[in-house]
Amino acid sequence: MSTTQEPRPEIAIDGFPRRKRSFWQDLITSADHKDVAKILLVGAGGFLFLAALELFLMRLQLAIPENTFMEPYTFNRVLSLYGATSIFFFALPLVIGLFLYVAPLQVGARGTALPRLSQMGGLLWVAGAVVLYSGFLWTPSEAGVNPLPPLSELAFLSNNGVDAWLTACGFATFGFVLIAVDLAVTLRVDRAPGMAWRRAPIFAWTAAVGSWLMLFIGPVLLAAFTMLLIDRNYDGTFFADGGGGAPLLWQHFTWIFYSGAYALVLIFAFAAVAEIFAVFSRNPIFNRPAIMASIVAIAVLGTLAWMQNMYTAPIGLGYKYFAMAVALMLIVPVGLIFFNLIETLKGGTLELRAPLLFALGALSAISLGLAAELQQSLVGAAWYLKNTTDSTAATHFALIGGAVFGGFAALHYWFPKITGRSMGELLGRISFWTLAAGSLLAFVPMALAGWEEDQVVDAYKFFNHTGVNFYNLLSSIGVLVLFVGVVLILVNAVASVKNGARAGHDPWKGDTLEWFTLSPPPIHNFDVQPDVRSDRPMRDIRAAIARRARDAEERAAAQSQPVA
Amino acid sequence: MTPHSPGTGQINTLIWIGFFAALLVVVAINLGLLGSVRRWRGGRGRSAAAVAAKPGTQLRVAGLLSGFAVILFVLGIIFTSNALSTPKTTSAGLTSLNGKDLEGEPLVIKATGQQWLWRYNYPNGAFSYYKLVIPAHTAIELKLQSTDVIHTWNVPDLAPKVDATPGKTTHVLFRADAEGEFWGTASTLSGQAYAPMRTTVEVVSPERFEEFIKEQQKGIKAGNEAAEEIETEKLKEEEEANPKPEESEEGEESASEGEEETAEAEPAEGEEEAEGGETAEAGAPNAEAGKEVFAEQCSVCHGATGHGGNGGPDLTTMPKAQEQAGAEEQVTNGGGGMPPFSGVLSEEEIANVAAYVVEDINGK
Repeated sequence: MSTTQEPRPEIAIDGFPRRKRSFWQDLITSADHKDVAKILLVGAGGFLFLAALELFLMRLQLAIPENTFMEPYTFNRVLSLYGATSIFFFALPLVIGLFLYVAPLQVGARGTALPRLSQMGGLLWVAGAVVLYSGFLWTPSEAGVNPLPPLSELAFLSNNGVDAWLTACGFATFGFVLIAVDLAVTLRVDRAPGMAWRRAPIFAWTAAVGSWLMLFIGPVLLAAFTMLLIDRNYDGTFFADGGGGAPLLWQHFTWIFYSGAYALVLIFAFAAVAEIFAVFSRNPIFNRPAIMASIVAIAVLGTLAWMQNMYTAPIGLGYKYFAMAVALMLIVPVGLIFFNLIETLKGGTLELRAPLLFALGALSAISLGLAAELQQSLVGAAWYLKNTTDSTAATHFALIGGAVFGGFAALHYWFPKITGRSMGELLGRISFWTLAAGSLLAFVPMALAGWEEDQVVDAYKFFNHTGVNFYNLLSSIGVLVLFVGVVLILVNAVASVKNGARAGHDPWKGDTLEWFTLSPPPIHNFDVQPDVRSDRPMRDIRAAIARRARDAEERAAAQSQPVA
Repeated sequence: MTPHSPGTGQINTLIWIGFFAALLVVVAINLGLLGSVRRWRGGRGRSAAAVAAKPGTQLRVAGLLSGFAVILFVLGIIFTSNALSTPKTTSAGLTSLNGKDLEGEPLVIKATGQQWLWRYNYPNGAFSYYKLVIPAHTAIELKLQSTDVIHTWNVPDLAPKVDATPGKTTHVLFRADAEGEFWGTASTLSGQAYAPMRTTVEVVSPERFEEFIKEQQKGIKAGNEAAEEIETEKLKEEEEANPKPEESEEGEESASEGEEETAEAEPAEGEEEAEGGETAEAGAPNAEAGKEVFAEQCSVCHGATGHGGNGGPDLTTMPKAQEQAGAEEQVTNGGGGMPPFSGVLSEEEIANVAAYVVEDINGK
């Protein structure tokens, strides 16, 4: 009899017997990294819906010229809300939530090192979400995606909407920083025996890099928010030009954060795609060290290129050339990652299932976004293209590629681990093609309107006879399709939690340690931290089991033979 | 974008260079992905066989990418600095203004951004709102300032975008090589009326420009005198007629008639309007029509109900907004941060909106 024995999770105990608590009690009081991550992930899903809805509302206003569907101030409110929702309450929590859930499992840790810190981070993030949306019902901010002072100063927006916006995003960022501390420490000290950094899974490595990145950029943003809150509430003059403050300082601070966050989303997507490509082509990741080094380079250079968002601002030309140089340097690590990822597919046996489909979509969308950013990193070209809808489209391609396609590739891939069930394959495919069609239809015309006719960003209306009517209509239809795709994917996720096919603990035959435990994992993840001997520990474990089974069979055969 | 200045020509070239670089990247990556998927899809009885990494491949790829980056960087610097190089006034351009020789120096014009319009100050005291008039073939130096929030001055066909940041003066240097009208926008979110905060640049012949400056100076002088006259008249009236109700009946017959019209039932109002039109009773201002004008032109600053809040003051507190003549004068000539509407609105519309402000908002 041939044995196709599966690796068996080495779990003997499943927590201590304790008083039964309600689901909500558990959720709020649990300091388990998986529970905190679940709060972030479920929340991110909800805010993705809201962000897509807000984007759709704005595009509805911009579907026809000189539309009066929204008042100017309503548009600005929705715009400000959309910016905060999509960055602080969708993209970043999705990325950090997946890092927090998966990375400790991947390195074989039995929990995080500083669980209460993560718990507080998660709760702070929830508090931020509550402040943002209750603030929206009360007096929303009208200061836009990045509330530039002096517009965001008390003199120009005198209700407390901007304060609520700053507090909400500040809470969320503070939460991310706390989680980043926990993750950075966990990944530093709690890796399984034998797992040197060179053997750490790409995703866990990227979680560590991303955590350090957040530790650098998060406090910068928190400082800027605090300064603006002091300006607004305690007569400060950090950014108000009257008292010798500098509106430019805000731009530096916030662009450092936003550029870093952009890089964070991108490296997250690259790492998730690398894991998925390896598993779904049944190949090892091609040239891991180069990818790992490139991820660090993107984190560093991507943040250092912050001034490429300030080409029109009154800073010296030398700074602009510096930003251009750093931005163009990014070609090397990004290009290497693309090269090595495509090379990973070569010679493989590709299983074109939903996670791989989303991963391919992520790379494709990111390539479009980053190529457009490449064009805009040239100083002279940016003097025309920046602050047009061309730059909006570029950012959206890169971030939808990273956070929506990359995020849902990762979610499709790890969903069985998180819930024990698979996400629906058919609905997954349908939602993928809807999203792909929607994003192309939404953002290609938007880019053309910006490039050809210089349609400006953030404007609540555009004028007839400026040559952009058709582009805007197409773009609005595209955003509607995009919205439908987002709804489909969320319906798929929600329905699969209860009704998905049972997946077992290792549905994809993964190479990394998170597939060594149960699905969903018990509270302590692993009874025993497995020894790691290579960068594909699960493969070793499978081989060891096969070897043991073979030995046992041989022994049995030997015993059953009559002794001569 | 159709470049009409030397600088924007360079910018346009750089945009196309960037586009082809971007296209190359997109095509290479997506063909690579598509090709791999087509080639390696499905098991078909194979088992995965990883392609072995050849030594030196990474270095060669990295070298290729670095070369690409360096070429783009060099091209970026070349075309950007070309776009920045100070344009010179050509022989067809403006060489002297008001009898003063420019000596090859650029013509300096101050552009001030405020919520939500651009004001242009020319040499010798002339100024204009919304529309910048410049001579063709002449080097222009625009000194950008802002009185409130950050605005970005953006006339894509003529010059690079530059921020007007409060507390700083920034510069744009350009030369327009074709006559005509070029539109521009503000391109940093500056509040409610950010989208309509547009500007136009009219490029005219140097001779026409000199005429324009003279006309503007004359117009400003006349406007100031008219404003003074109204001020003095108003003072006289206040001294002469102390009892207020009488004054409003005598001095502003037309305004009180407008009030009657709005007070009456709607069908009757229509008839009366028609009659008024026939007899041409000195163009009796119609507050109802003024309401529409107010919603379009004034509400962005003064709020939908005229109680201010968006950069404009509360109209119920402004003395000039309490009576027809003062309101008309303020709307026509502007002042105190408010732009003049003389070119934007017709005299009738100004009268109507003034009536609306006086009667409906202030209830006089």
